[in-house]
This record gives sequence, C-alpha cells and structure tokens, in this order.
Amino acid sequence: MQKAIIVGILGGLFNLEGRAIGELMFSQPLVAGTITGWLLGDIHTGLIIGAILQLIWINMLPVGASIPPDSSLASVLGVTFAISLLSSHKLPSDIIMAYSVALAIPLGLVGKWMDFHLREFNANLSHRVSMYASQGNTVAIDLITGAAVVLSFFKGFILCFIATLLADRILLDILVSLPHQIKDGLRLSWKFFPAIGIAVIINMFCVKKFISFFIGSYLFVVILLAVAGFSKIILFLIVLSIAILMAFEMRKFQKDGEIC
Amino acid sequence: MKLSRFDLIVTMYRSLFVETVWNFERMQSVGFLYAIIPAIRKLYPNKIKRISALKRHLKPFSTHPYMTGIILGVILKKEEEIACGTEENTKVIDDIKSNMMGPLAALGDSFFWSAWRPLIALLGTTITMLSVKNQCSIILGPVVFLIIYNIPHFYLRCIGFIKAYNSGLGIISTIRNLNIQKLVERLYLIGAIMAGCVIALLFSWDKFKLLDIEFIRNIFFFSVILLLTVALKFQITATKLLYIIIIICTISVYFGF
Repeated sequence: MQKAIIVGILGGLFNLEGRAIGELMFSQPLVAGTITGWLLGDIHTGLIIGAILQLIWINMLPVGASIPPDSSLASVLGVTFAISLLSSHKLPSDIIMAYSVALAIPLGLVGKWMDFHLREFNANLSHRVSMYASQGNTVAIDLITGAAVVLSFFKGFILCFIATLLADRILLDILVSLPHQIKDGLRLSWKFFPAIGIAVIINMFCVKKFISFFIGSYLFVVILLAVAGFSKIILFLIVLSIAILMAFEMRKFQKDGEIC
Repeated sequence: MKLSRFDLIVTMYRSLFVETVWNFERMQSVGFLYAIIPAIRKLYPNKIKRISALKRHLKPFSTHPYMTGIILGVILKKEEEIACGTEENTKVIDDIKSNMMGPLAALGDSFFWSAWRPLIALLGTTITMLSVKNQCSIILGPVVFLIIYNIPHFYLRCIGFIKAYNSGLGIISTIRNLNIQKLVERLYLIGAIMAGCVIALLFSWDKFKLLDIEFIRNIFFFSVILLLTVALKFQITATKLLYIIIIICTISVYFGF
C-alpha cells in the first residue's frame, strides 16, 4: 500500500512534468526509470528498463496535436513491477525484466488513452476561462489552471496507484504459473530488446545521405576494438568528437556552406 | 506604464505552464493567457480595458512549448505600447500571434522533437550502456542527458524571452537568419555516426578470429538488427516488433531450439 502511494505520487509528478509544466524531460524513460529505481532501492534495474524503453520510444514525438504513448508512466510501472518481482521471487532477472517491459508497454498506451480524454475534458475548462475572461475575473483563471494541474497529476497518480496495487497481487502468480517454455522464451527475447532499440535508432538517423557515414563509423570502431585494443569508453569519446567535428566542419565538403 | 523586472520574471515562470489546459479546441490559448495575466493586471488598471485585453488572448493558439517565451516577449512589448497609447491598433496582437506561432512551432518541432531530443537520448543511453557496470558512474547517463538537453531549452525560455522583449518585432529577422534545417541535418549526421559506433560497441569482437563462436553470434545479431530496421521501414512499430520477438522466441524454445 505504501509503495503504491509512492509510485502513484511519482507517476503523477512525472505526468505533470511531461505533459503540463516545464518539460525539462525528467519524464523521459531514461530519467524517470532511474529515479523510480532509486526510490525503490534498485537503481541498476531502473536504469536498464528505462534505457530500453527510451530506445524503443525514441521516435515518438509530440508534434502538434498528436499524443505519443505515455513513456514516463510506462517506465515508472515497468521498473516498479521488475523491482517487486525481483525482491519477492527467485527467478532469473532476464525473465523478470522482459516480463515487466512487455507488461508496461500496454500501460503506456492506456496512459495515452487517458491523456486523450483529459484533453477533451479540458475543453470545458477552456469554455469557463472565456466566460471568466469576459467578466475580467483573473483570479478565477488562475484557479482553473490550478485545477488542470491537479487533474493532470491525478491522471498519473490513479494509473500508477491502481496498476501497482493490482500488480502486487496478480503479476507474480501469473509469472510463476506460466509454462517454462514461455519463461525461456522471455529469457531469450530479453537479449533481442537492445537490438530493437538500435534498429529504431538506425531507422531514425540513417537517412540515405548518411548511410556511408554510419557504415564507416561501424567499421572504424570494430577495427580499432579488435586490432588496437582500445577501451570502449575512450573509443566512444573519440568517435563522438570526430562526429561533432565532421558535422560542424562539413561546409568544407559542401558548395553552399554557411555557418548556422 | 512600464513592466518591471519582477513582472518579467513572474511571466517567465508562468510560461512554464503553457501546456496545462491543452485542449483540442483552442490548444494552448489558456496557458498563454495564464502567462500574460500578471502583465495585463498591471498594464490595465481600468476594468473595461482589462476585459478587452483578456479577450484578445482567447483565440486558438498553438506552438512549440519552448517557443512561447519568444512570442510572449514580443506580445508583452506590444501590450505595453498599447497601454501607453503609442500603438492604436489592437488587432496587431492577434496578427503577431497567428503569424509567429506556425513558423516557430515548425522550427521547434524539427529541432527539439525530431533531432535534439533523440540525439541526446541516444547519447544518454549509450553512456548508460557503457557505465552501468561501474558503481560510481552509474547515473552518469541520465545526468548527462538532462544537462545537455536543457542548455538550448533554457536559452530559448529565458534569454530568448528577454531578447524578444527588448527587441520587439526585430527578433523575427534574427530567427529567420538561423538556418535550422542545416543544423538539424548536422545533428542527424552525428546521430548516424553514433549509431554505427553503438552497434560496434554493443556487439563487439574482443579478439578477431573468423568462424569463432563469438564471431557467428555477432554476425547473427547484426543481421537481426538489419532485419528489424527493414521491418521498421515497412511501418511496423517498435512495440509490435517487441511482442513479435517474444512470440518467435517462445515458439523456438517450444520446438527445442
């Protein structure tokens, strides 16, 4: 119960941050998962699940009026499920992580559905605002904005609270009663989740123009790792600085070069 | 009547709430009104004038949330001029808003949503992958993500707002001179180079030997990634791919693979 309240408050705050106030991107899965994991006492799990969800949903953009899946609530819930399953049962962590990610993704879609209805409801508040504006009542407009903030908080709170409460009772029993083939299938599929994330990244960044750069950097890193035995972190920093240099000195290769 | 520095800071703080009452009819218009209320309260002590000023801001308004600061700055300058009486035509406020919100939204969407955030998220996850085993640097990835991401964000929110307030409509030519399309392309180039680097780091050879077990495993993963990329090109979403992979794995385990 206490845990459900903590997770609910976290979900509400992340929902506020991502959909209403500020948008500093604390609500991105990478950060939200880490903070949830830290509060529940297992940063490592939080980081890994957050990173996986971040990669899978990296190209879901809130452009214009479109609503992306609620990745922050999905990561909060995924991390919560994983940590409570890890603490209460002696199954390999691969199975538990894959199971929690697979369960958290539909909840992100539930969050999106709730968001849609919340935004439809907000139309009523907007009508009230125009009524108060024609009376010159500015305090009422402030109060209505406050009410919208509270509603947005409660959207995240309710979803996370109920999901965590139910999860504690049901999820474990389901996971234990699954046949061992499905468990092994989950364990095997966990190895492929980063591959999905990388495929999403390639799909996003490697437009036709840059495919030669992509292959070039792959071969460069592979050869340096295999032959010269560089450490991975140093190699990553080298590639990053080369990339930045190339991107901002590219006008040497172009005719109409101008500085941004 | 002039706005004090305190009013500007309050408006800047309130501009964080611009997406709060987001609705499908008038989008962020309530959020914009909420941000501008302190200025209107101060500029128009007369109730009738205040009501007409409030009503000016009820029309549909939608832009990129980080760009509201710039529009707010320009509008505050104009409202000030109207309150002083140097500007007679109140319709100009509406024109400025409707002419600025579209181009700025496109600019913010193409820079922040489709290039900057994915690129920095990729950077953060890569650092996480590299540093997750090390106890001291475990939260380096999220921290780097938050800090680097928010530098241009806060630049636009705060300095953009102040600059727009000081230079009024002159900010438009400054924005036009930014070549965002080229900048986005450069970020995509960095992203492409980093993507190649990430694959090589994740599925890497420690020792280079042909037809070694590790070699076959890496080739297998590489071809799986290529297959998944092709699937994504055919509009199968990543979440669907995830469930398809779980099902395929379960079936292959069932047949004793």
